[in-house]
Amino acid sequence: MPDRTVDAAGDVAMDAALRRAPEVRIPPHFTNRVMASLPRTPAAPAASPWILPALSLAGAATLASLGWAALSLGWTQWFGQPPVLATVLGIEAVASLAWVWRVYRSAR
Amino acid sequence: MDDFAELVERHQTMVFRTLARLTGDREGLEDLAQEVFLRLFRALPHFRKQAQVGTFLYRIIVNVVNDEFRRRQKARLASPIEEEEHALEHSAPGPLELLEQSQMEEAVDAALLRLTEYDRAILTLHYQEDRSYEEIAAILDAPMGTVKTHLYRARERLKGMMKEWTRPCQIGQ
Repeated sequence: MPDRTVDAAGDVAMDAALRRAPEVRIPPHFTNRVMASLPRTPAAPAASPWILPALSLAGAATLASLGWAALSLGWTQWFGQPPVLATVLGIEAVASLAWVWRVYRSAR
Repeated sequence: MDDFAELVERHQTMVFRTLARLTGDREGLEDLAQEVFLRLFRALPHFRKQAQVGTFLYRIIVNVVNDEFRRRQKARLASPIEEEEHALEHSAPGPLELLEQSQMEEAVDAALLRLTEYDRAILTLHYQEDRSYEEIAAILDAPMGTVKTHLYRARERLKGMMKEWTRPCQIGQ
């Protein structure tokens, strides 16, 4: 039968060791070294708030013009063919999976 | 600029001790600490809430340590096998020897290094830095439930390792 007292004592010792911060030695003049390493030019300002809506608008306009071109040139029937449709859907699926994988990797 | 120097003064001890725990090193942390503050400086213009600098700093520390481990891993992969073997032969005392010398802290440090970087960060933030679940979730950008689960599992894993390492000592006695 396991000795619970020993277990509990081990737990307490382990928790205490986890709580105890390691002793560290901060080099003298560390702040000066950090200050000397900072870039002299100010950091670039945050991206303008209008960029995202503008890009979305441009993307929507491009898609709309492509759709209009497809309708006027009769591409809709061509896209309706099963092999063409399957190919397009396949490319889209691969692109989506690649994007999801990229987001997943960057989040880890 | 003076404000930033004050910020460095205020947080440098926390940065060094957290880096020490997460990397398992006690020396040579200066470059990593400098990188932490450099990243903080670059991020400050986009950062409004001064009250959350501490939380943000922890996040930077975790990222810097992750990058450092990735860099070390790449360097290890690039090094010839002979050098790797040589390094293993002359590595620091193992966890068993450390325990025999009643060096619980060193043993815990050694065990921590066998956990994933994520679990090590959670344990360090919770125990050493006394951060709440909410704060850890904010630092690691993870749901609170995930933090709690990882914390529990990491502690159990650590406990398991410590038990495993003490068993031969008990048999030997």
